[in-house]
Amino acid sequence: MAPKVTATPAKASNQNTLLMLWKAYNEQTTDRLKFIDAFLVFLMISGALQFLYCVLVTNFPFNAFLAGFSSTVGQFVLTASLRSQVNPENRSEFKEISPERAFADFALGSIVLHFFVFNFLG
Amino acid sequence: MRCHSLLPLFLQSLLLLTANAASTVNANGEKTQTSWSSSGDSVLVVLDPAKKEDYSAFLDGLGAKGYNLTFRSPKDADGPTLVEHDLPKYSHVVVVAGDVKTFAKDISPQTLVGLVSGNTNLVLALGNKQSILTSLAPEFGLILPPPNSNLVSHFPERDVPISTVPITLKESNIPLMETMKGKKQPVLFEGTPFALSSNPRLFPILNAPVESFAGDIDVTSDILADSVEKGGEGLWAGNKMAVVAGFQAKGGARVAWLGGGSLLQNKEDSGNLNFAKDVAAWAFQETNVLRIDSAEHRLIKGAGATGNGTVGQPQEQYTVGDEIEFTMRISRYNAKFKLWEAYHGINDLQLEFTMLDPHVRIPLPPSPGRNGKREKGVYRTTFRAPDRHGVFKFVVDWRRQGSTELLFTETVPVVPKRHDGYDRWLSAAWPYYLGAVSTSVGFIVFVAGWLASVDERGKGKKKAE
Repeated sequence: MAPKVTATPAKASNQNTLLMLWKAYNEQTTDRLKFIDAFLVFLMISGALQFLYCVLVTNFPFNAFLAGFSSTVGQFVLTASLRSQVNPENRSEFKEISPERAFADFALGSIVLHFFVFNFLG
Repeated sequence: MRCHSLLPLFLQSLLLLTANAASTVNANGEKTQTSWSSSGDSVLVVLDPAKKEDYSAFLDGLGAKGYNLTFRSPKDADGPTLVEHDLPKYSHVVVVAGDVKTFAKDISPQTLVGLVSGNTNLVLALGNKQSILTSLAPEFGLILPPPNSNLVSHFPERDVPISTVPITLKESNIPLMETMKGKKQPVLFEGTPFALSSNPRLFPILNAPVESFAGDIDVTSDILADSVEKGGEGLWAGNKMAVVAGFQAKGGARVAWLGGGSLLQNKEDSGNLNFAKDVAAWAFQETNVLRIDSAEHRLIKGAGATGNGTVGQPQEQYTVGDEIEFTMRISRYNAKFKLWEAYHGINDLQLEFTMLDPHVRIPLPPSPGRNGKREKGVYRTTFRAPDRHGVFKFVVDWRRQGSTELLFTETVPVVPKRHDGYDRWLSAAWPYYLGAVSTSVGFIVFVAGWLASVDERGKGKKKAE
Protein backbone atom coordinates (compact mmCIF):
# COMPACT_ATOMS: atom_id res chain seq x y z
CA MET A 1 0.00 0.00 0.00
CA ALA A 2 2.79 2.35 0.89
CA PRO A 3 4.29 2.74 -2.59
CA LYS A 4 0.93 3.65 -4.03
CA VAL A 5 0.57 6.51 -1.59
CA THR A 6 4.00 7.92 -2.36
CA ALA A 7 3.68 7.28 -6.09
CA THR A 8 0.95 9.78 -6.72
CA PRO A 9 2.73 12.83 -5.35
CA ALA A 10 5.94 11.81 -7.14
CA LYS A 11 4.08 11.58 -10.45
CA ALA A 12 2.45 14.89 -9.80
CA SER A 13 5.77 16.54 -9.05
CA ASN A 14 7.26 15.01 -12.24
CA GLN A 15 4.41 16.43 -14.24
CA ASN A 16 4.93 19.74 -12.52
CA THR A 17 8.61 19.71 -13.44
CA LEU A 18 7.84 18.94 -17.10
CA LEU A 19 5.20 21.66 -17.17
CA MET A 20 7.61 24.13 -15.58
CA LEU A 21 10.25 23.21 -18.09
CA TRP A 22 7.87 23.68 -21.00
CA LYS A 23 6.68 26.95 -19.55
CA ALA A 24 10.19 28.23 -19.01
CA TYR A 25 11.16 27.17 -22.54
CA ASN A 26 8.18 28.97 -24.01
CA GLU A 27 8.85 32.12 -22.10
CA GLN A 28 12.63 32.36 -22.20
CA THR A 29 13.49 31.11 -25.70
CA THR A 30 13.55 33.54 -28.57
CA ASP A 31 11.39 32.85 -31.64
CA ARG A 32 14.42 32.22 -33.83
CA LEU A 33 15.69 29.47 -31.52
CA LYS A 34 12.20 27.98 -31.42
CA PHE A 35 12.23 27.97 -35.20
CA ILE A 36 15.54 26.11 -35.15
CA ASP A 37 14.16 23.68 -32.55
CA ALA A 38 11.13 22.96 -34.71
CA PHE A 39 13.46 22.05 -37.57
CA LEU A 40 15.54 19.88 -35.24
CA VAL A 41 12.46 18.00 -34.05
CA PHE A 42 11.38 17.42 -37.64
CA LEU A 43 14.83 16.03 -38.50
CA MET A 44 14.82 13.80 -35.46
CA ILE A 45 11.42 12.30 -36.32
CA SER A 46 12.40 11.82 -39.96
CA GLY A 47 15.64 10.09 -38.97
CA ALA A 48 13.89 7.88 -36.41
CA LEU A 49 11.29 6.81 -38.98
CA GLN A 50 13.95 5.89 -41.53
CA PHE A 51 15.87 3.95 -38.95
CA LEU A 52 12.75 2.05 -37.92
CA TYR A 53 11.98 1.27 -41.56
CA CYS A 54 15.52 0.01 -41.99
CA VAL A 55 15.33 -2.23 -38.92
CA LEU A 56 11.78 -3.48 -39.37
CA VAL A 57 11.29 -3.59 -43.14
CA THR A 58 14.46 -3.58 -45.21
CA ASN A 59 17.90 -2.09 -45.34
CA PHE A 60 18.01 -2.70 -49.07
CA PRO A 61 19.27 -0.69 -50.89
CA PHE A 62 21.66 0.13 -48.13
CA ASN A 63 23.17 3.14 -49.88
CA ALA A 64 19.74 4.78 -49.97
CA PHE A 65 19.33 4.17 -46.26
CA LEU A 66 22.76 5.59 -45.54
CA ALA A 67 22.04 8.64 -47.67
CA GLY A 68 18.58 9.29 -46.24
CA PHE A 69 19.54 8.63 -42.65
CA SER A 70 22.84 10.50 -42.73
CA SER A 71 21.19 13.47 -44.40
CA THR A 72 18.91 13.86 -41.36
CA VAL A 73 21.79 13.25 -38.93
CA GLY A 74 24.12 15.63 -40.78
CA GLN A 75 21.47 18.28 -41.07
CA PHE A 76 20.70 17.85 -37.37
CA VAL A 77 24.34 18.34 -36.41
CA LEU A 78 24.71 21.40 -38.64
CA THR A 79 21.49 22.91 -37.35
CA ALA A 80 22.42 22.19 -33.74
CA SER A 81 25.77 23.94 -34.29
CA LEU A 82 23.95 26.88 -35.77
CA ARG A 83 21.68 26.94 -32.74
CA SER A 84 24.52 27.02 -30.28
CA GLN A 85 26.36 29.71 -32.24
CA VAL A 86 23.44 32.09 -32.61
CA ASN A 87 22.16 31.56 -29.06
CA PRO A 88 22.59 34.92 -27.32
CA GLU A 89 23.48 33.09 -24.09
CA ASN A 90 26.56 31.58 -25.75
CA ARG A 91 27.81 34.92 -27.05
CA SER A 92 30.75 34.82 -24.66
CA GLU A 93 31.94 31.52 -26.12
CA PHE A 94 31.71 32.52 -29.78
CA LYS A 95 32.96 36.06 -29.56
CA GLU A 96 34.63 36.16 -32.96
CA ILE A 97 31.78 34.38 -34.80
CA SER A 98 28.91 36.57 -35.75
CA PRO A 99 25.44 35.04 -36.25
CA GLU A 100 25.70 35.89 -39.95
CA ARG A 101 28.99 34.06 -40.21
CA ALA A 102 27.46 31.09 -38.35
CA PHE A 103 24.53 31.01 -40.73
CA ALA A 104 26.82 31.19 -43.77
CA ASP A 105 28.81 28.21 -42.41
CA PHE A 106 25.56 26.36 -41.81
CA ALA A 107 24.23 27.07 -45.30
CA LEU A 108 27.48 26.08 -47.04
CA GLY A 109 27.82 22.94 -44.92
CA SER A 110 24.24 21.94 -45.67
CA ILE A 111 24.60 22.46 -49.41
CA VAL A 112 27.73 20.30 -49.48
CA LEU A 113 25.92 17.68 -47.37
CA HIS A 114 22.95 17.56 -49.72
CA PHE A 115 25.25 17.31 -52.71
CA PHE A 116 26.77 14.17 -51.28
CA VAL A 117 23.42 12.80 -50.14
CA PHE A 118 21.83 12.99 -53.55
CA ASN A 119 24.86 11.52 -55.20
CA PHE A 120 24.75 8.62 -52.86
CA LEU A 121 20.98 8.12 -52.87
CA GLY A 122 20.31 6.37 -56.21
CA MET B 1 26.98 -21.06 -81.08
CA ARG B 2 24.53 -23.19 -82.96
CA CYS B 3 27.05 -24.28 -85.53
CA HIS B 4 29.46 -25.17 -82.79
CA SER B 5 26.95 -27.39 -81.10
CA LEU B 6 25.80 -29.18 -84.20
CA LEU B 7 29.24 -29.89 -85.56
CA PRO B 8 29.94 -32.85 -83.27
CA LEU B 9 26.52 -34.28 -84.08
CA PHE B 10 27.28 -33.93 -87.75
CA LEU B 11 30.66 -35.58 -87.35
CA GLN B 12 29.06 -38.36 -85.37
CA SER B 13 26.52 -39.02 -88.06
CA LEU B 14 29.29 -38.95 -90.64
CA LEU B 15 31.12 -41.55 -88.62
CA LEU B 16 28.00 -43.67 -88.46
CA LEU B 17 27.65 -43.36 -92.19
CA THR B 18 31.12 -44.65 -92.84
CA ALA B 19 30.68 -47.40 -90.28
CA ASN B 20 27.77 -48.83 -92.17
CA ALA B 21 29.64 -50.65 -94.87
CA ALA B 22 26.53 -51.75 -96.66
CA SER B 23 24.74 -48.43 -96.94
CA THR B 24 25.48 -46.71 -100.16
CA VAL B 25 25.88 -43.03 -100.91
CA ASN B 26 24.13 -41.72 -103.98
CA ALA B 27 25.16 -38.91 -106.35
CA ASN B 28 23.59 -36.24 -104.16
CA GLY B 29 25.64 -37.39 -101.23
CA GLU B 30 22.59 -38.75 -99.45
CA LYS B 31 22.46 -42.16 -97.95
CA THR B 32 20.09 -44.44 -99.75
CA GLN B 33 18.45 -47.15 -97.76
CA THR B 34 17.08 -50.30 -99.18
CA SER B 35 15.97 -51.69 -95.83
CA TRP B 36 13.59 -50.44 -93.19
CA SER B 37 16.37 -49.94 -90.68
CA SER B 38 17.64 -46.50 -89.78
CA SER B 39 21.15 -47.80 -89.25
CA GLY B 40 22.04 -50.05 -92.19
CA ASP B 41 21.00 -52.84 -94.48
CA SER B 42 23.48 -55.65 -94.01
CA VAL B 43 22.68 -58.55 -91.70
CA LEU B 44 24.90 -61.45 -90.79
CA VAL B 45 22.98 -64.49 -89.59
CA VAL B 46 25.07 -66.96 -87.63
CA LEU B 47 22.97 -70.11 -87.80
CA ASP B 48 23.43 -73.81 -88.21
CA PRO B 49 22.68 -74.37 -91.96
CA ALA B 50 20.81 -77.58 -91.12
CA LYS B 51 18.31 -75.56 -89.03
CA LYS B 52 17.85 -72.78 -91.56
CA GLU B 53 14.47 -74.12 -92.71
CA ASP B 54 13.01 -73.71 -89.21
CA TYR B 55 13.63 -69.98 -89.37
CA SER B 56 12.56 -69.40 -92.96
CA ALA B 57 9.52 -67.25 -92.21
CA PHE B 58 11.49 -64.88 -90.00
CA LEU B 59 14.43 -64.68 -92.41
CA ASP B 60 12.18 -64.20 -95.43
CA GLY B 61 10.46 -61.42 -93.52
CA LEU B 62 13.80 -59.69 -93.08
CA GLY B 63 14.56 -60.13 -96.76
CA ALA B 64 11.19 -58.63 -97.65
CA LYS B 65 12.08 -55.57 -95.61
CA GLY B 66 15.10 -55.03 -97.82
CA TYR B 67 17.88 -56.42 -95.64
CA ASN B 68 20.86 -58.09 -97.29
CA LEU B 69 21.23 -61.36 -95.46
CA THR B 70 24.55 -63.14 -95.25
CA PHE B 71 24.68 -66.56 -93.64
CA ARG B 72 27.42 -68.19 -91.72
CA SER B 73 27.66 -71.45 -89.89
CA PRO B 74 28.69 -71.06 -86.22
CA LYS B 75 31.54 -73.52 -86.62
CA ASP B 76 32.70 -72.31 -90.03
CA ALA B 77 36.08 -70.72 -89.34
CA ASP B 78 36.47 -69.37 -92.89
CA GLY B 79 33.05 -67.79 -93.15
CA PRO B 80 32.40 -64.08 -93.62
CA THR B 81 34.20 -62.12 -90.94
CA LEU B 82 32.35 -59.99 -88.43
CA VAL B 83 35.03 -57.33 -88.27
CA GLU B 84 37.03 -56.04 -91.19
CA HIS B 85 39.83 -53.50 -90.89
CA ASP B 86 38.84 -52.98 -87.27
CA LEU B 87 35.38 -51.86 -88.30
CA PRO B 88 32.21 -53.90 -87.94
CA LYS B 89 31.37 -55.28 -91.35
CA TYR B 90 27.65 -55.73 -90.81
CA SER B 91 25.05 -53.36 -89.45
CA HIS B 92 23.20 -56.12 -87.69
CA VAL B 93 24.19 -59.55 -86.49
CA VAL B 94 21.85 -62.38 -85.54
CA VAL B 95 23.35 -65.24 -83.57
CA VAL B 96 21.25 -68.32 -82.91
CA ALA B 97 23.19 -70.63 -80.65
CA GLY B 98 20.85 -73.61 -80.84
CA ASP B 99 22.71 -76.64 -79.59
CA VAL B 100 26.08 -75.42 -80.84
CA LYS B 101 28.66 -75.65 -78.09
CA THR B 102 31.77 -74.31 -79.72
CA PHE B 103 31.79 -71.41 -82.14
CA ALA B 104 34.43 -70.45 -84.67
CA LYS B 105 37.34 -68.65 -83.05
CA ASP B 106 36.49 -65.20 -84.35
CA ILE B 107 32.96 -65.37 -82.97
CA SER B 108 33.86 -64.70 -79.37
CA PRO B 109 32.32 -62.67 -76.57
CA GLN B 110 35.05 -60.07 -77.15
CA THR B 111 34.17 -59.64 -80.83
CA LEU B 112 30.48 -59.38 -80.03
CA VAL B 113 31.12 -56.72 -77.40
CA GLY B 114 33.37 -54.96 -79.91
CA LEU B 115 30.52 -55.02 -82.42
CA VAL B 116 28.18 -53.38 -79.92
CA SER B 117 30.77 -50.67 -79.25
CA GLY B 118 30.95 -50.18 -83.01
CA ASN B 119 27.21 -49.57 -83.14
CA THR B 120 26.24 -52.92 -84.54
CA ASN B 121 22.85 -54.23 -83.47
CA LEU B 122 22.65 -57.76 -82.21
CA VAL B 123 19.91 -60.32 -81.87
CA LEU B 124 21.22 -63.12 -79.67
CA ALA B 125 19.24 -66.30 -79.09
CA LEU B 126 20.53 -68.42 -76.25
CA GLY B 127 20.70 -72.17 -76.70
CA ASN B 128 20.07 -74.83 -74.12
CA LYS B 129 23.77 -75.67 -73.96
CA GLN B 130 26.66 -73.67 -72.58
CA SER B 131 28.13 -71.56 -75.35
CA ILE B 132 29.80 -68.20 -75.89
CA LEU B 133 26.41 -66.57 -75.49
CA THR B 134 25.95 -67.96 -71.98
CA SER B 135 29.31 -66.51 -71.00
CA LEU B 136 28.53 -63.23 -72.74
CA ALA B 137 25.12 -62.82 -71.10
CA PRO B 138 26.43 -61.77 -67.65
CA GLU B 139 28.33 -58.92 -69.33
CA PHE B 140 24.96 -57.47 -70.30
CA GLY B 141 23.50 -57.90 -66.84
CA LEU B 142 21.60 -61.08 -67.59
CA ILE B 143 21.63 -63.65 -64.81
CA LEU B 144 21.17 -67.14 -66.19
CA PRO B 145 19.80 -70.09 -64.24
CA PRO B 146 21.91 -73.26 -63.89
CA PRO B 147 22.81 -74.92 -67.21
CA ASN B 148 20.17 -77.06 -68.93
CA SER B 149 17.34 -75.15 -67.30
CA ASN B 150 14.18 -74.70 -69.32
CA LEU B 151 11.16 -72.55 -68.71
CA VAL B 152 8.47 -74.90 -67.47
CA SER B 153 4.84 -74.24 -66.77
CA HIS B 154 1.98 -76.60 -66.05
CA PHE B 155 -0.59 -73.93 -66.80
CA PRO B 156 -2.69 -73.63 -68.81
CA GLU B 157 -3.44 -77.30 -69.50
CA ARG B 158 -2.42 -78.03 -73.07
CA ASP B 159 -1.35 -80.66 -75.57
CA VAL B 160 2.19 -79.36 -76.13
CA PRO B 161 4.96 -80.36 -73.70
CA ILE B 162 5.28 -78.47 -70.42
CA SER B 163 8.49 -76.86 -71.68
CA THR B 164 6.61 -75.09 -74.49
CA VAL B 165 5.05 -72.20 -72.63
CA PRO B 166 2.44 -69.91 -74.15
CA ILE B 167 3.04 -66.31 -73.06
CA THR B 168 0.49 -63.57 -73.59
CA LEU B 169 1.88 -60.09 -74.06
CA LYS B 170 1.02 -57.57 -71.39
CA GLU B 171 0.13 -53.93 -71.95
CA SER B 172 3.57 -52.90 -70.71
CA ASN B 173 5.23 -54.87 -73.53
CA ILE B 174 3.08 -53.37 -76.23
CA PRO B 175 4.89 -50.03 -76.86
CA LEU B 176 7.71 -51.86 -78.59
CA MET B 177 5.43 -54.18 -80.48
CA GLU B 178 3.95 -52.58 -83.55
CA THR B 179 2.73 -55.64 -85.42
CA MET B 180 1.66 -57.34 -82.19
CA LYS B 181 -0.66 -54.44 -81.43
CA GLY B 182 -4.22 -55.65 -81.09
CA LYS B 183 -3.26 -59.30 -81.64
CA LYS B 184 -3.99 -61.44 -78.63
CA GLN B 185 -2.29 -64.56 -79.90
CA PRO B 186 0.17 -65.85 -77.30
CA VAL B 187 3.82 -66.42 -78.06
CA LEU B 188 5.02 -70.02 -77.76
CA PHE B 189 8.30 -70.00 -75.91
CA GLU B 190 10.74 -72.82 -75.56
CA GLY B 191 14.04 -72.07 -73.89
CA THR B 192 15.79 -70.57 -70.89
CA PRO B 193 14.42 -67.75 -68.79
CA PHE B 194 16.80 -65.36 -67.09
CA ALA B 195 16.81 -62.79 -64.33
CA LEU B 196 17.81 -59.19 -65.00
CA SER B 197 20.32 -57.22 -63.00
CA SER B 198 19.66 -53.60 -62.12
CA ASN B 199 21.62 -52.33 -65.13
CA PRO B 200 19.56 -49.36 -66.32
CA ARG B 201 20.35 -50.10 -69.95
CA LEU B 202 18.73 -53.51 -69.66
CA PHE B 203 15.00 -53.98 -69.63
CA PRO B 204 12.59 -56.87 -70.11
CA ILE B 205 10.73 -57.10 -73.41
CA LEU B 206 8.81 -60.23 -72.52
CA ASN B 207 8.46 -61.60 -68.99
CA ALA B 208 7.90 -65.22 -68.08
CA PRO B 209 4.37 -66.12 -66.93
CA VAL B 210 3.78 -65.81 -63.21
CA GLU B 211 3.17 -69.54 -62.68
CA SER B 212 6.26 -70.67 -64.64
CA PHE B 213 9.62 -71.75 -63.27
CA ALA B 214 13.00 -72.85 -64.51
CA GLY B 215 13.98 -76.49 -64.33
CA ASP B 216 15.74 -79.30 -66.11
CA ILE B 217 13.08 -81.31 -67.87
CA ASP B 218 15.46 -84.17 -68.58
CA VAL B 219 15.91 -84.86 -64.91
CA THR B 220 13.06 -86.96 -63.64
CA SER B 221 13.10 -85.61 -60.12
CA ASP B 222 10.47 -83.03 -59.43
CA ILE B 223 12.17 -79.69 -58.84
CA LEU B 224 9.04 -78.20 -57.41
CA ALA B 225 8.83 -80.82 -54.68
CA ASP B 226 12.55 -80.38 -53.96
CA SER B 227 12.27 -76.65 -53.61
CA VAL B 228 9.18 -76.89 -51.43
CA GLU B 229 11.28 -78.89 -48.98
CA LYS B 230 13.80 -76.02 -49.00
CA GLY B 231 11.08 -73.45 -48.50
CA GLY B 232 11.21 -72.29 -52.10
CA GLU B 233 14.85 -71.40 -51.91
CA GLY B 234 16.82 -71.68 -55.13
CA LEU B 235 13.75 -71.94 -57.32
CA TRP B 236 13.78 -69.74 -60.37
CA ALA B 237 10.15 -68.84 -60.78
CA GLY B 238 7.64 -66.15 -61.53
CA ASN B 239 7.27 -63.18 -63.78
CA LYS B 240 10.36 -61.39 -62.48
CA MET B 241 12.17 -63.61 -64.94
CA ALA B 242 12.33 -62.49 -68.52
CA VAL B 243 12.50 -64.58 -71.66
CA VAL B 244 13.31 -61.64 -73.95
CA ALA B 245 15.31 -58.63 -72.87
CA GLY B 246 16.57 -55.53 -74.60
CA PHE B 247 19.83 -53.73 -74.02
CA GLN B 248 20.71 -50.29 -75.30
CA ALA B 249 24.40 -49.53 -75.58
CA LYS B 250 25.88 -46.11 -75.06
CA GLY B 251 26.57 -45.54 -78.72
CA GLY B 252 22.98 -46.37 -79.65
CA ALA B 253 23.41 -50.00 -80.64
CA ARG B 254 20.62 -52.30 -79.56
CA VAL B 255 20.93 -55.85 -78.36
CA ALA B 256 17.98 -58.20 -78.08
CA TRP B 257 18.50 -61.25 -75.89
CA LEU B 258 16.16 -64.16 -76.55
CA GLY B 259 15.89 -67.03 -74.13
CA GLY B 260 15.65 -69.46 -77.01
CA GLY B 261 15.75 -69.64 -80.78
CA SER B 262 12.19 -70.97 -80.75
CA LEU B 263 10.88 -67.41 -80.75
CA LEU B 264 12.28 -66.92 -84.24
CA GLN B 265 11.13 -70.29 -85.55
CA ASN B 266 8.15 -71.01 -87.74
CA LYS B 267 5.37 -71.99 -85.38
CA GLU B 268 1.89 -72.39 -86.70
CA ASP B 269 -0.97 -70.86 -84.78
CA SER B 270 1.16 -68.67 -82.56
CA GLY B 271 2.24 -65.08 -82.34
CA ASN B 272 5.87 -66.02 -82.73
CA LEU B 273 6.41 -64.67 -86.22
CA ASN B 274 4.89 -61.29 -85.45
CA PHE B 275 6.72 -61.15 -82.17
CA ALA B 276 10.05 -62.00 -83.82
CA LYS B 277 9.37 -59.32 -86.41
CA ASP B 278 8.77 -56.76 -83.70
CA VAL B 279 11.82 -57.70 -81.67
CA ALA B 280 13.98 -57.58 -84.79
CA ALA B 281 12.41 -54.28 -85.83
CA TRP B 282 13.32 -52.83 -82.47
CA ALA B 283 16.80 -54.33 -82.44
CA PHE B 284 17.57 -53.27 -86.01
CA GLN B 285 16.56 -49.70 -85.16
CA GLU B 286 13.41 -49.54 -87.21
CA THR B 287 11.15 -48.55 -84.36
CA ASN B 288 11.51 -46.15 -81.46
CA VAL B 289 14.41 -44.40 -83.15
CA LEU B 290 14.53 -40.71 -82.30
CA ARG B 291 16.94 -37.94 -83.03
CA ILE B 292 17.42 -34.31 -82.17
CA ASP B 293 17.28 -32.29 -85.36
CA SER B 294 18.16 -28.95 -83.89
CA ALA B 295 18.24 -27.03 -80.66
CA GLU B 296 18.45 -23.32 -80.19
CA HIS B 297 18.09 -20.70 -77.52
CA ARG B 298 17.36 -17.02 -77.75
CA LEU B 299 16.87 -13.95 -75.65
CA ILE B 300 13.27 -13.01 -74.91
CA LYS B 301 13.73 -10.24 -72.38
CA GLY B 302 16.74 -8.82 -70.59
CA ALA B 303 20.22 -7.54 -71.18
CA GLY B 304 21.68 -10.52 -73.05
CA ALA B 305 25.33 -10.51 -74.03
CA THR B 306 27.44 -7.50 -72.94
CA GLY B 307 24.37 -5.76 -71.65
CA ASN B 308 22.91 -4.85 -75.04
CA GLY B 309 21.80 -8.12 -76.63
CA THR B 310 19.17 -8.07 -79.36
CA VAL B 311 15.90 -9.48 -78.12
CA GLY B 312 14.82 -12.49 -80.17
CA GLN B 313 18.35 -13.49 -81.14
CA PRO B 314 20.61 -16.26 -79.82
CA GLN B 315 23.24 -14.84 -77.48
CA GLU B 316 26.84 -15.84 -76.97
CA GLN B 317 26.34 -15.13 -73.30
CA TYR B 318 23.42 -14.23 -71.13
CA THR B 319 23.07 -11.87 -68.21
CA VAL B 320 21.58 -13.05 -64.92
CA GLY B 321 17.81 -12.65 -64.92
CA ASP B 322 17.43 -12.82 -68.71
CA GLU B 323 14.34 -14.52 -70.09
CA ILE B 324 15.62 -17.31 -72.34
CA GLU B 325 13.61 -19.35 -74.80
CA PHE B 326 14.80 -22.85 -75.63
CA THR B 327 13.53 -24.71 -78.67
CA MET B 328 14.30 -28.25 -79.73
CA ARG B 329 13.17 -30.18 -82.77
CA ILE B 330 12.88 -33.94 -82.52
CA SER B 331 12.01 -36.40 -85.22
CA ARG B 332 11.37 -40.09 -85.31
CA TYR B 333 12.32 -42.59 -87.94
CA ASN B 334 9.49 -44.00 -89.99
CA ALA B 335 10.68 -47.37 -91.15
CA LYS B 336 7.91 -47.93 -93.67
CA PHE B 337 8.72 -44.78 -95.65
CA LYS B 338 12.41 -44.73 -94.68
CA LEU B 339 12.30 -41.13 -93.60
CA TRP B 340 12.45 -39.01 -90.49
CA GLU B 341 9.19 -37.46 -89.34
CA ALA B 342 8.72 -34.63 -86.86
CA TYR B 343 7.73 -36.29 -83.60
CA HIS B 344 5.40 -34.65 -81.14
CA GLY B 345 4.82 -37.51 -78.73
CA ILE B 346 7.31 -37.00 -75.91
CA ASN B 347 5.54 -35.57 -72.89
CA ASP B 348 8.22 -35.97 -70.25
CA LEU B 349 11.12 -34.12 -71.81
CA GLN B 350 13.03 -31.88 -69.40
CA LEU B 351 15.42 -29.02 -69.90
CA GLU B 352 18.16 -28.39 -67.39
CA PHE B 353 20.27 -25.29 -67.01
CA THR B 354 23.26 -26.65 -65.24
CA MET B 355 26.39 -25.41 -63.55
CA LEU B 356 27.55 -28.50 -61.64
CA ASP B 357 23.96 -28.83 -60.39
CA PRO B 358 20.87 -28.12 -62.42
CA HIS B 359 19.95 -24.61 -61.31
CA VAL B 360 16.84 -24.85 -63.46
CA ARG B 361 15.05 -28.06 -64.34
CA ILE B 362 11.79 -27.52 -66.15
CA PRO B 363 9.51 -29.46 -68.48
CA LEU B 364 10.20 -29.06 -72.18
CA PRO B 365 6.72 -29.72 -73.53
CA PRO B 366 5.65 -30.19 -77.15
CA SER B 367 4.75 -26.81 -78.60
CA PRO B 368 1.00 -26.18 -78.77
CA GLY B 369 1.68 -24.12 -81.89
CA ARG B 370 2.71 -20.55 -82.45
CA ASN B 371 0.87 -17.71 -84.20
CA GLY B 372 -1.90 -20.11 -85.14
CA LYS B 373 0.52 -22.47 -86.88
CA ARG B 374 1.00 -26.03 -85.79
CA GLU B 375 4.58 -26.88 -84.97
CA LYS B 376 5.00 -30.61 -85.15
CA GLY B 377 8.10 -31.96 -83.46
CA VAL B 378 8.90 -28.68 -81.75
CA TYR B 379 9.47 -28.61 -78.01
CA ARG B 380 9.73 -25.22 -76.43
CA THR B 381 9.97 -23.56 -73.06
CA THR B 382 11.12 -20.28 -71.54
CA PHE B 383 12.83 -19.63 -68.26
CA ARG B 384 14.72 -16.96 -66.37
CA ALA B 385 18.47 -17.31 -66.09
CA PRO B 386 19.22 -17.88 -62.39
CA ASP B 387 20.74 -15.14 -60.28
CA ARG B 388 24.14 -16.79 -60.43
CA HIS B 389 26.87 -16.14 -62.92
CA GLY B 390 29.23 -18.73 -64.33
CA VAL B 391 29.50 -21.19 -67.16
CA PHE B 392 26.16 -22.91 -67.59
CA LYS B 393 25.02 -25.73 -69.83
CA PHE B 394 21.72 -26.32 -71.53
CA VAL B 395 21.14 -30.03 -70.99
CA VAL B 396 18.43 -32.23 -72.43
CA ASP B 397 19.06 -35.78 -71.32
CA TRP B 398 16.17 -38.10 -72.07
CA ARG B 399 16.65 -41.81 -71.53
CA ARG B 400 13.76 -44.18 -71.76
CA GLN B 401 13.87 -47.94 -72.05
CA GLY B 402 13.29 -48.98 -75.62
CA SER B 403 13.83 -45.55 -77.15
CA THR B 404 16.93 -43.91 -78.49
CA GLU B 405 18.56 -41.78 -75.85
CA LEU B 406 18.37 -38.08 -76.54
CA LEU B 407 21.29 -36.04 -75.27
CA PHE B 408 21.97 -32.42 -75.99
CA THR B 409 24.36 -30.09 -74.22
CA GLU B 410 25.50 -26.62 -75.06
CA THR B 411 27.68 -24.41 -72.95
CA VAL B 412 26.75 -20.80 -72.45
CA PRO B 413 28.26 -18.30 -70.01
CA VAL B 414 25.97 -16.29 -67.77
CA VAL B 415 27.53 -12.99 -66.74
CA PRO B 416 26.57 -10.65 -63.92
CA LYS B 417 24.90 -7.36 -64.71
CA ARG B 418 27.11 -4.49 -65.73
CA HIS B 419 27.49 -1.70 -63.20
CA ASP B 420 24.81 0.34 -64.98
CA GLY B 421 22.58 -2.65 -65.59
CA TYR B 422 20.76 -2.41 -62.29
CA ASP B 423 17.63 -0.38 -61.59
CA ARG B 424 18.57 2.96 -60.13
CA TRP B 425 15.42 3.72 -58.16
CA LEU B 426 13.83 0.93 -56.19
CA SER B 427 10.37 0.98 -54.68
CA ALA B 428 11.70 -0.50 -51.43
CA ALA B 429 13.78 2.62 -50.87
CA TRP B 430 10.99 5.21 -51.16
CA PRO B 431 11.11 6.10 -47.43
CA TYR B 432 14.79 6.90 -47.80
CA TYR B 433 14.26 9.01 -50.89
CA LEU B 434 11.41 10.77 -49.15
CA GLY B 435 13.60 11.36 -46.07
CA ALA B 436 16.43 12.86 -48.09
CA VAL B 437 14.14 15.04 -50.17
CA SER B 438 12.18 16.23 -47.13
CA THR B 439 15.44 17.17 -45.38
CA SER B 440 16.44 19.26 -48.39
CA VAL B 441 13.02 20.88 -48.66
CA GLY B 442 13.08 21.48 -44.90
CA PHE B 443 16.50 23.10 -45.27
CA ILE B 444 15.26 25.44 -47.98
CA VAL B 445 12.17 26.37 -45.98
CA PHE B 446 14.33 26.90 -42.92
CA VAL B 447 16.76 29.14 -44.79
CA ALA B 448 13.89 31.15 -46.26
CA GLY B 449 12.28 31.55 -42.85
CA TRP B 450 15.60 32.40 -41.24
CA LEU B 451 16.52 35.02 -43.81
CA ALA B 452 13.07 36.57 -43.56
CA SER B 453 13.43 36.90 -39.79
CA VAL B 454 17.04 38.15 -40.11
CA ASP B 455 15.79 41.00 -42.29
CA GLU B 456 13.41 42.14 -39.62
CA ARG B 457 15.85 41.76 -36.78
CA GLY B 458 18.74 43.12 -38.76
CA LYS B 459 16.83 46.30 -39.23
CA GLY B 460 16.10 46.50 -35.54
CA LYS B 461 19.69 45.64 -34.68
CA LYS B 462 21.11 48.30 -36.95
CA LYS B 463 18.79 50.82 -35.49
CA ALA B 464 19.80 49.82 -31.97
CA GLU B 465 23.46 50.16 -32.81
